[in-house]
Amino acid sequence: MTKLMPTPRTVDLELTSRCNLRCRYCYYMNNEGVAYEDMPTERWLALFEELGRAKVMDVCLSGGEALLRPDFFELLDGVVRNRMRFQLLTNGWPVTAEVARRLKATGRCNSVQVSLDGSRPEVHEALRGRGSFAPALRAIKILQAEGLPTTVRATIHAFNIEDLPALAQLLLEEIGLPSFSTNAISSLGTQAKYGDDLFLAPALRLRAMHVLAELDGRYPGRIQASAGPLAEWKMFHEMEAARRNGGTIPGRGRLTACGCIYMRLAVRADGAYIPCCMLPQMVLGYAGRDSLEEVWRNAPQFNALRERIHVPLSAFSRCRDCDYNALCTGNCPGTALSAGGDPNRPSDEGCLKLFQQALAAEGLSLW
Amino acid sequence: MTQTIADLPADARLIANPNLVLREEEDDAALLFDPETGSVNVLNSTGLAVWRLLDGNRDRAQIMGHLREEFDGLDAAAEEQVAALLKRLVAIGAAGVVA
Repeated sequence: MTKLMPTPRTVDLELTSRCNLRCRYCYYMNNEGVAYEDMPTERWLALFEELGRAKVMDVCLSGGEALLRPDFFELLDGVVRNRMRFQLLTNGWPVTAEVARRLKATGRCNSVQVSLDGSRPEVHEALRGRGSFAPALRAIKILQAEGLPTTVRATIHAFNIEDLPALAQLLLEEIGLPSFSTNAISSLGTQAKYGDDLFLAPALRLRAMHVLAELDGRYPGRIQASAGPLAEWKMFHEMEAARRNGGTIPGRGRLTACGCIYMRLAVRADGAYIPCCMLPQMVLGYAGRDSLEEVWRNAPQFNALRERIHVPLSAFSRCRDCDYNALCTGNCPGTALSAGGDPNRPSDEGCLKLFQQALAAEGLSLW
Repeated sequence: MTQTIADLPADARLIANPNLVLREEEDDAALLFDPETGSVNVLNSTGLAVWRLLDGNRDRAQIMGHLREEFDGLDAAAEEQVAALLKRLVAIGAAGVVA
């Protein structure tokens, strides 16, 4: 096994399961086997002390909508007191000038990320709900005015692809953010429970890739993506270039996924330790009952996940004859579990071969 | 005001900044993390050994002497490395002087 650091550097904290929005593609809500309950203040504060002793460097605060917790700033004081920095993810609705001032006053804020899917209400609210655009846009401006590092996450779907240039102009030119990031709908949560009509059809997925690739060229280095169409565009082209050149890509060819499980873990709102937000059902232990360090190092399911990197993609029938099997990561175990029932195999989401086949069936091509 | 090691008397006892967080990641390396700024400095095995001696009880000469004992002697390059590290730690505020 790759040598594991003694404790995680980063911990993702889902401070609450409450949210004031009901986004149709929410990965967080409606996952089978997940208890949507909130730990009380004192248990979170006790966990922060444990994180501090474990020398965790930073936390990512989310939910649900973390700012809905009435004790949010009491919890934030606990983060600060235990010598950590934080990132905050928010839909922006609860952000006021006072909230921004208090976040800034900690001196520990790495960034605040606001979710915004479109440059105008009808685009953003198509899947996020009526009335959600104005508070999000207002929040971005309030946070920026306070001098907080502010960024935006746009989830790409069928209703906002053609609006992306306008969104980029709004965020990067009019508002002047240094960057924003993009993602895609995954097979978790509300999307999985209530139907898969929100996934991008192959032609639209390709269109999204083209639009984002063009924007990436127009705004170099200012559109980030760790998943979704832009990330896939870049990864697929990297794989194809390596295939054509007969080269290799270090660390590929096995179920390596994104590697986050070697540096971080997550805590659900009810205190359950989970590997990450994409594996909400995989309970490794509970805060307050189980030692963080013990869970990090010795939770059997966690270590089994880490063993995936030794599994060659060629071991799977679908991958065995694939031209890219030595160049692929096998993608996210979370989506492999949610879509296919097994985290220890390649995920269909992000599979270049399957995408190429789907495009070919429609007379399209990536290259 | 940024302090330099040259400003310090030779018998100044050095102490680690208690506001920094030391993460020992591997057997021979550690991260020195400042939660106020987010800055991270990497300490190798020698740096880690030096850091552990910044307990406010030793001046530079005593730190060097302790390291010579711990490592069964230090060659000239190692002594330069230690001196440079102490200089840097003081310069970035990671180490200071016991009043």
